[in-house]
Amino acid sequence: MEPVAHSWEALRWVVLSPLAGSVLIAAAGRRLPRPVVGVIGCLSVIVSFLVGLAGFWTLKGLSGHDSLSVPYLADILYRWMTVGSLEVNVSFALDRLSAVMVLVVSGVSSLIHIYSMGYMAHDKGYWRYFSYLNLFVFFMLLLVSADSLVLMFVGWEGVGLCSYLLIGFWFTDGEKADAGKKAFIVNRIGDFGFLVGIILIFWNLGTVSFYGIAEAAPRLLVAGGGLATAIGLLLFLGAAGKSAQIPLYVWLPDAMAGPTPVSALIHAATMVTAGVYMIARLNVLYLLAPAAMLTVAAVGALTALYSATIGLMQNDIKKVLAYSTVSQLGYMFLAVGVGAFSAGIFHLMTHSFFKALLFLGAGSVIHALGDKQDIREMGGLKEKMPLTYWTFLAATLAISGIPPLSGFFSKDEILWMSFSSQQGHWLLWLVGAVTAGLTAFYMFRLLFLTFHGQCRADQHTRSHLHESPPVMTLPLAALGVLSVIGGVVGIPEALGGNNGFHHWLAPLLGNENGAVAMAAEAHRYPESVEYLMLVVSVAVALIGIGLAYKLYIRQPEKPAQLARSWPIIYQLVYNKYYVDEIYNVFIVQPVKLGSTYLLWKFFDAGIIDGLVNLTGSLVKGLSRLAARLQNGYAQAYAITFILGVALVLGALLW
Amino acid sequence: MIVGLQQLLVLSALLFTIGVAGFITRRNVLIMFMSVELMLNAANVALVAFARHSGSMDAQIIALFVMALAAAEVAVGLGIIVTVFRNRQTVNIDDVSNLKW
Amino acid sequence: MAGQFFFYLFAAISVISALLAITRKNPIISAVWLVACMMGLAVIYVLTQAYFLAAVQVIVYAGAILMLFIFVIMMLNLKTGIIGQMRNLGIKFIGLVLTAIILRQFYTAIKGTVSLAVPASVVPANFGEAGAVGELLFTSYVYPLELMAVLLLVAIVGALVLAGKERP
Repeated sequence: MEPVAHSWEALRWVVLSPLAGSVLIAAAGRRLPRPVVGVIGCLSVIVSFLVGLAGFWTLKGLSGHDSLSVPYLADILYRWMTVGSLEVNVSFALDRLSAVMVLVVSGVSSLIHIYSMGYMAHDKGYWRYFSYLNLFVFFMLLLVSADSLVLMFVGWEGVGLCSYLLIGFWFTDGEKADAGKKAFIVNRIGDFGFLVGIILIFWNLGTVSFYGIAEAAPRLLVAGGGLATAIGLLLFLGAAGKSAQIPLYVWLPDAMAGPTPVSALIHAATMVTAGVYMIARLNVLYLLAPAAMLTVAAVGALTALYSATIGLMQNDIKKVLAYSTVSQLGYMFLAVGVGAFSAGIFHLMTHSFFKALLFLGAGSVIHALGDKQDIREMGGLKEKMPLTYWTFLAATLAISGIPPLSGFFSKDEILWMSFSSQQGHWLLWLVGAVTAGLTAFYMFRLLFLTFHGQCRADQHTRSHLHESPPVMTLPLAALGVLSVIGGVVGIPEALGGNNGFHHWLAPLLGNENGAVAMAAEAHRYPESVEYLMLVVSVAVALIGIGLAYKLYIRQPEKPAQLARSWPIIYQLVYNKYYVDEIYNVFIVQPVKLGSTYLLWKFFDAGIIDGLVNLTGSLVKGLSRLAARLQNGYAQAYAITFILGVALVLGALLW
Repeated sequence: MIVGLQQLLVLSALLFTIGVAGFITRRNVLIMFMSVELMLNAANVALVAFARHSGSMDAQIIALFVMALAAAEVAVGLGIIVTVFRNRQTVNIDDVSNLKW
Repeated sequence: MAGQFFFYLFAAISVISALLAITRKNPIISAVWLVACMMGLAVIYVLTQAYFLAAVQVIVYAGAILMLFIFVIMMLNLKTGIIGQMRNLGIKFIGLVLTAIILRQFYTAIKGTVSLAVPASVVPANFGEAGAVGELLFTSYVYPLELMAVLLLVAIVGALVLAGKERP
């Protein structure tokens, strides 16, 4: 693979346009009328999308001339630092992978911005919201179009910052502000791993640029060696923090305290996918560390299953979706962990469509019900909010993996790869399949309880029920269309498609060995096994849907009965396995105690302040001594003179 | 017959030392002042000694200026002493040391 | 030889007078002994061919300055040992020790001097005489001379202002 750079100066506007929007709104937003602020916010992201589209077409035109050279669009904004052998510039690279990411991020962001104009219309912090949101898009686009790990890390930290700002948007509420802090702090733990990984990479490979790493890693790192594994695991720690995998997922459910479009954008479609993108980017590195890849896949699968079980029992519409996001992210990590990088990115794309749609739909419901989020108080909204209902249904079908919607193709490819890839294992597949069933179940539970049956809301709320305004429903419709047809680019060969998505990304994902591995395992099992897997996936999904139908439409008293029959299990899962409480006891409280008594009282106040005060007291004491020299007696002064004379004479005579 | 340089310098040194000792020892301000005059005279002796032994008269001129200077200084100094002790008729003037911190 | 004898005699007179001057309780007695010291020094100036200076010494120092001292002593009518100065004997002791050290250092320095005695035949004939001094004063040293005159004027005015009667 020979990367060839083509300079394209327009590329910088993809990243800089939202920054300009953010700064403009921050400076003047308070005084501008709301529609203007909203339009500026939306336009800045739409500009990014359009420029990204232009870049994509340009790239498409450049490709295909010869199979070895991989052209990409490059734009160096300015030379940032050159220290010794470390050279990091603020420069962007639009290659096949980052083109996909840029389009997904800016496209979905544009729709969410438009939606926000309606959702946040009555909020006092309207301009602050759009400024933060634009800033977030800037950092995210920086992250995906960076050409080096260091610049990507800048974007990484930046999206973490904006996540904090937006989760704690209504900061006057203590709980919401705490949620923002929790997100930032947990992220930071992951970032530590990431940073150590970057340092190790630089130390051993001498470069932090992605193309440089791809070229140097196979040369300088021992395949399967301890160093490669360590780097892989450290980077995964960062990814686990940002993309909410075990053990650092705890911030994401709490992050639902932010406005719903924020949850849609940041915690469904974009920021949380950064970890997956990072691993896909560094696939050359990971292919050299099978142990790390296995860890990634195992953690991903486990997280998927684990959070699906928690999502089964949640009663807040957004919390269900949050745990669903963690679960789907687990699928993406499962994919990259078994070497199916393009499958992971494919699922990233389809997930961003239907998960954003789900969140926006939930927002529509919340908006209509006057800020109520408990699904036990919903029901029967299908007739009152048809557009919301039908798009929500489309997204739910997609996430459950029902053909021919987009989610089916991406999830199926992951399940197939986890079974058949060289690094796959049937156990991973089994966990994935069970989770798929659970996903279908709890998503349809959500749908049925929210939209079907009798309306359980109180009289006052029911009288205000209305469908959302077009500024909110049009993005829902757009995302609905994408959720349905989005899978078309990735239809596998087994079903007659040409899997264009996979082939588009193939030159970048996996070096020759990886590509060969892909090709090899396609023949590892005959096609009949692949068909069997397909059928099994769909069957599992249908079982889940059927079960949900039975429990929530036909026999609505049954769930409560089941809960009473197995109270211990119910309590355990309902309380999220008490993980937050365990973390609090074993990590948070000890750190707090240590900080207070050891670091603060002993070290900072005692030693450091003590040293400073000691210096002060020393000076005071010395000067008190010295002040006694000035006693006003001329004779004492004369004696001082004589002392001086004696000293000078002594010096002269020596 | 010329007086020896070293003898003259010894005389100067002795006078100077006596002046210093008198200054730091005595508590009477006028006697302190007189010790200062003694020190000045010791310097004059040294100057005159060197004048003779180097053959140039410049040192004598300097000694002359020193004397004039001493005169001026005594005049003003005694004026100060008179003023100070006029204002504080009482004894125990430990607070003439107003300069102290 | 005679010169040496007179030198030692009057040097001794000066030193002993000085010693006595600083150790007397009565300031008038101290002043008188100081006068004696000055006279002794004047003789020594004569012995070292500083004739004009010797005259000035007698006139100015013994005649004017010490007279002034005696006037002031009598005017203020100070009782002996009344004016309190520094009482801390410890520091004074240290001071005396330092003084002894200085004396020792002077001795070391003087021991190392080499006399480049210029014989009497080589110095100009009017060495140290009033005419020669005057000539130097008004040619090479005319600036210091004028400045000294101003200084004396300032001193006079200062003394007048300080010690004069207060205006009502």
